[in-house]
Amino acid sequence: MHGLNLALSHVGPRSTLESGEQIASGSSTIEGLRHFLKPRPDQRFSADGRVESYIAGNGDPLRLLLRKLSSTLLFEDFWHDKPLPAGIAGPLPFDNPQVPSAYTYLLQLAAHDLVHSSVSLAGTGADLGVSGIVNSRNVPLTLETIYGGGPEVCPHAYKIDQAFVSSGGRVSRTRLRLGRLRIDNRLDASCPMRDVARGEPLHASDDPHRDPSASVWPSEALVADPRNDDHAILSQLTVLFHLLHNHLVDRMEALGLPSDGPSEQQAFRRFLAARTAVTLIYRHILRNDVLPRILHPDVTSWYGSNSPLEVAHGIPLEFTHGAFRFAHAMVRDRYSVTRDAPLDTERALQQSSHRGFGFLPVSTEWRVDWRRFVPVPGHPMPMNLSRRIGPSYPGVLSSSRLFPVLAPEAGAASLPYGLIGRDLMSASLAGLWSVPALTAELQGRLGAGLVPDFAAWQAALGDWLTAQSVFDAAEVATLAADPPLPFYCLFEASKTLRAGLPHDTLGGLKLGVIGSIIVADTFHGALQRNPVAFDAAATGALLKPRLLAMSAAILGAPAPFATLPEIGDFGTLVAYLIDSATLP
Amino acid sequence: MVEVFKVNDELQWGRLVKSWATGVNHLTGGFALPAVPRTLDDLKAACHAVGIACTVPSHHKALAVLSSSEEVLVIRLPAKSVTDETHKELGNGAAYSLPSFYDDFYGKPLPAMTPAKSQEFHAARIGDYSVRMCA
Repeated sequence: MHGLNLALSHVGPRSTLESGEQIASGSSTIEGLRHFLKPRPDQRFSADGRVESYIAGNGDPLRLLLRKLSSTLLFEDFWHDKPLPAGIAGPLPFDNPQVPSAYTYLLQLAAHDLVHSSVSLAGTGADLGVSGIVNSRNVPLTLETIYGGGPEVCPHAYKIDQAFVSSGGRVSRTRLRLGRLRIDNRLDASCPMRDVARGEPLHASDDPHRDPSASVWPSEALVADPRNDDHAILSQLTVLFHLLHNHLVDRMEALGLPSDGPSEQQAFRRFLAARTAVTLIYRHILRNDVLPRILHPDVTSWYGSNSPLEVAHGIPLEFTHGAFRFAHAMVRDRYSVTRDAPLDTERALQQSSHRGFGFLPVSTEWRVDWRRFVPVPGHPMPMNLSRRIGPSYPGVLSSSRLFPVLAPEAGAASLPYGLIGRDLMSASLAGLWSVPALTAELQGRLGAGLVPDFAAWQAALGDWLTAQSVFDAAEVATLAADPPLPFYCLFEASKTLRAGLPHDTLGGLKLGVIGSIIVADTFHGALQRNPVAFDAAATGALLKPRLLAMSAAILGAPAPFATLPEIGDFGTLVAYLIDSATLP
Repeated sequence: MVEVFKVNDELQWGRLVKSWATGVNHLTGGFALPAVPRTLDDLKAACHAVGIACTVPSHHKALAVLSSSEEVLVIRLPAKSVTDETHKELGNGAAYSLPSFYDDFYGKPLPAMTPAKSQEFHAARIGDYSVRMCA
C-alpha cells in the first residue's frame, strides 16, 4: 500500500540502508526520511543478532523468526475470546465501534500525503544509494497527494476548463478531473462521473490502438498521486476530495467572485481559495477527528498542551516502517459498499491501474456510499467498522497471491504471508529503535506517568508468544525482549493497562502509548513544520471563521463559505457534500 | 448467499490440496507438507501452518476428505439446503459470485448475467464440479 518497502530492496550485504549505519551516523542517503530521536547503533532492533547476520549475508535466521511471527499474525480468530463489553461492542468480535472504516482510508491517504516514494523497489537489485529512492513529498500534510504541484506542474490531474480553452491556455485549469464509473462491463455516456479520471496512452510508444486485436483499457490514472488508485475505496476517497474542490470553485464562480482583476487572475484566485479551503478542512479533520480516534487518550492530551518532540525535515522511519503499519490491521475482508450485501475487499484491490486494466474504470458496485463508512448526521445507515487494532491482519492483506514475495530470498527460508511478511521484514532492515530502548528514551523525556516501563510488556509478550506454540523458548525470549516495532505497536494496542499490567479488557480500540507517540509526533511535527495560511495549530479551534477570513483575503468576500457548517469531522463533511448535492 | 468455506490465498490452497492428492509437496514458501486433515481443527491448523487464513462457517460440524481414483466414478452431490438456497437467490437476482481469482486469471470481470442465465450457469457448474475430480 505504500511505495517504499525496504523488504523489497534488501538484496545484498552492501546495500547502503541495510547496515543501518548510514542512518545511524546521520548520513542517510534516503532524502526525506529520518529516524525518530536518532537511536544509537546499540539501541536498534537486532533480534539477538539476526539482523546483523542478515546483513552479513545469512538471511535465514531472521527470515525464519519473522516467518513464525507472521504465522501468528495470520490468526483470524484473535479477537473471538476478547469480546468488548455489551453496549459498546459491534456486531462482530473484531469490530471497532469507535473507528468506522472511513478512517482506515483517511489514514492511507494521509500516509500518501506524508511520504511519496518516487521509485518502486519491487524486484530492483540496485543499491539504495544509487537507485534514487527518496521521499519526495516536499510539504507533508498539505494535500499534495490530491493537488500535486498544481495545474501547471501536474496538468493531467486537472480538467480543461472552457476558460482555459478560450483564453488559449492563459487561464489555469481550476478543477480536478473526474471520470465515469463502469456499469457491469459497459462504459458510455450514461455511466455516472464518480471515478477518478483515466486515460489511454494514445499515440505513445505503448499505444494499445496500434494492435487492432488488443484490448484497450484506461490504464492511466489522471490523478496527482497514482498511489491513490491503489484500490477502489481509496480512489473513491480521492473522488470525494476532487468533488469538494470542484464544488467550492463552482460556488465562487456562481457568486461572481472574485469580482476584480483580469479573468486569468480571477481563475487563479478561485483555484487558490478552493485549494486552501480543502486543505484547511482536511487538516482540521486530521487534528480534531482522525488523530483523537486512533491515539491513546493520554497521548492526545499530552500533545494538546505540548510541542512535538521533533519538528524536523523528513518523516521518521519509525513511523513509516514501524508504528503506522498498524492501519493494515484495520482493513476488513468485506465491506457493504453501496448495499447491505458485503463485497470482498480483494475486488477493490482488483480495480486499480497497478494490478490490471481489465477491471477499470471502477464498477458502480464500488461507488462508495460514505454514509456506510462514517456516521453522517441526518443520514443514518448500517456502518462498516474498522477491525480492532491488534496482532491480527485481515486475510486479504495476508494473501501471498495478492501480495507475493517480490524480493530475491537468498537462503533456504522464504517469508510469504503477504503484507505481514513485508511489514516485518522492512521494519527489521530499517535500523529502527528497539522497543525497550525507545520506551526508556520516551520515559525519560515524557515521564513514567505517561510511558510505563517495558518490563510489564515484556512479560505479557512472553506469555502470548509462548501460547502461540510455534516458538521455542529462546525465540520467545528474543521476541519478548526485542519485538519488531510494527508487531509491538499492534500488540500494545490490543491491551489496556490496569494497575500497571497489560489486560485484554477494552483492547484494540486505539493505539497504545508507544505507537501513539510515534504517530502523534509525526503528524503534529509535520503540521507544525508545514504551516498553511489561516490554519490553526490548536486542536478544537473552530474552522469556519478561518475559512471566512481566507475567503475575504483571497476573493475579497466571505460569501462562498458563509453557508458552510462548522466541519469538525469527516462525517460532517460528508453530510455537507450530500446536502449540497455534491455527493449524490 | 450461503456462507462457504473460504481461504485468503486460493493459489496456496490449491497447491496444498494438490500436494495432499499426489503426495508431492507443491507448496511455495518452503513449507513442510502437513498431514491430510481428519478434523476441522486439523484443517485449520494445516492451513495456518502453510500461510493460509481460512474461514470455516459455523454450520460445518465435521470434515470428510474424499480421495478419488481413476477406477471409481464419484459423483459428489452438493448439500441440498445450499443448492436450494443458491438457486432461489439467483432467481431473485443475486449475482453468481465466483472467486475473484477467476477473473484475475482472465484479466477482466466476468459478464453480468440475467437471473435465468445465472441459474443455468449454477447448474452447469454443479454438474462440472460433481464429476471433474479436479482434473
